[in-house]
Amino acid sequence: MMASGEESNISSYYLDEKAFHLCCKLFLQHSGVIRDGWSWAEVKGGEEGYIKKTAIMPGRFCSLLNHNADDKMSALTQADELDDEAAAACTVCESQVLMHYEYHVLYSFSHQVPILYFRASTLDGQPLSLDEVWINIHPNYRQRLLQGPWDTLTQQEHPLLGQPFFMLHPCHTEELMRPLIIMADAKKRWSTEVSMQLKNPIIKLKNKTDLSERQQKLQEWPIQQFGTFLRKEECTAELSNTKRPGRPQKTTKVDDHRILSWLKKNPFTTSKQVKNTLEEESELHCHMAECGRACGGIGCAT
Amino acid sequence: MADDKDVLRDVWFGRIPACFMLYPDEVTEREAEPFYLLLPRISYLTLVTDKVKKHFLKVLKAEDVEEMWFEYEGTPLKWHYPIGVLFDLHASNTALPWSITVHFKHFPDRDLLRCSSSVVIEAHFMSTVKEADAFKHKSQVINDMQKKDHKQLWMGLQNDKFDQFWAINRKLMEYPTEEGGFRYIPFRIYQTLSDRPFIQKPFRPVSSEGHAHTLGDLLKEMCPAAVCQDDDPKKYQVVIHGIEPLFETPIQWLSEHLSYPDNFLHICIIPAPND
Repeated sequence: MMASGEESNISSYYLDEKAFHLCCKLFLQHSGVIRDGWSWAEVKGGEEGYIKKTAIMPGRFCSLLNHNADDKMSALTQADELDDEAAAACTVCESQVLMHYEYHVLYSFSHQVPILYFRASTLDGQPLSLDEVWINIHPNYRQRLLQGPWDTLTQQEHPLLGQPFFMLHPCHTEELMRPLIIMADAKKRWSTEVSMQLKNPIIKLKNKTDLSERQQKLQEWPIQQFGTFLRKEECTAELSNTKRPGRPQKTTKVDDHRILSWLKKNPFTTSKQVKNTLEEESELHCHMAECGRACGGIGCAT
Repeated sequence: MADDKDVLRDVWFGRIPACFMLYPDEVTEREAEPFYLLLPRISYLTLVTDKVKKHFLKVLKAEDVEEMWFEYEGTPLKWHYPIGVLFDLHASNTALPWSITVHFKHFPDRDLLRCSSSVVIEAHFMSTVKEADAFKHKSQVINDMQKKDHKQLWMGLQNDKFDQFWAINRKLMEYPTEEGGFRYIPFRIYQTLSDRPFIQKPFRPVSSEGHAHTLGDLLKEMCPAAVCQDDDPKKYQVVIHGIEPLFETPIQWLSEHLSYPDNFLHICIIPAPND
């Protein structure tokens, strides 16, 4: 039963173009309600388009003070226990300046998923290099992403504008989304929203200080249950993580805490890994309960 | 009749004579001589121009040198397109050698991707091959390959080794006989007079009635302006690897034989010359 459930969820991770447009529409409606600034951009003389958002926020811009960007990149790519050292090196040379970020979500016909493109520049229009973008990525994510720097984040031509943008590679979208899609129960609106929530810290889509109360709540709650929260919000118009009366809880508080800490350590943790680890750690629970945990309670409630 | 395999060799060994000239505003210590080179059509500018760089560095002061980039008649050349595409798109029907201007300053960040080393080219090449296989086989073939096979594709291209490359690439060209072709044909259609860089959409090699789609069918669907009516004068040329294939050519055959090493069929639509 578990297997077949997972199958259908995996297939729902791919979208055709129509579904993408529909999702964008829903996403924009929702964005309008919470006023977080996404809009639709059309390409001249065609039906194709994308959703976009621009934001200004402080970031690190190194080349103003330090021209050895190459050295920094090689220091970063050498990876293993880079964090403290690299962070220290950065604080010496970096300058905190306001930056202009531009995010586009486009449909990829080849990979059949939405792809995130973004670019960043200083307010006087000087574009950030790939090295500088890496430096602006939170160290927790940087380490994971640097295990394969060239198939994670690279500069690419924007397929509709023909200009250089940075692209988060689609091969990681599935890894990133699978556990969430399973949670979100194939409701695509949620997956897009949750996807953005998850990618935020990676590419600084949202600055912590400008988080609305709603997003702050979401950040504090277990990612594994986003889908549930968001669906509930649609029914009750209220975002809350209080328990529904009468429904058995499938994961304990301790489990939630553990799942969240794994995800924090490694955002690419899959539901399978979550399931296996939980199984290994607590053999006391019966099979049904494990199944419930693995898919976050969704689909196993009845 | 020549074997179809010969086509692969002809495509692989296609060359364009080029003359590289330093941008006149670059400050030099003495006059910079032009540099002549035969460019492989299937390769990338930044992959085959180490010698060009070395040549011009001899006359430049080290402090005046930033990332090298190329331009043809005012258009910055995108290194991430194969050389053959750049030539067909911007310089078809012009005199050879193709004269390319070399810059070492004022990198056009709004137009060109940065290319700091061949690692960047490799990453770009591999990600394009993967994208092509997503169209052809839902990525199954490329994902079933080992890392060393990926490396062999890249090394084959980098070192211009036809056999080394095709030993692996043939797997990417396979398809179930009963289906008559790939799932979708990975193609890109470029037009000089268009804002968007290229058209890329799913297109099946075989129609729902079971007959083979042709180049003409593809163009009619994606870019009808390129297919002129019988009695109209020809407005556009449809060019792949410097030639104009017949519109009746099956698109599956073109995909297997005239694709670039990145596994995409790059098609250039350019204005027909007025004779």
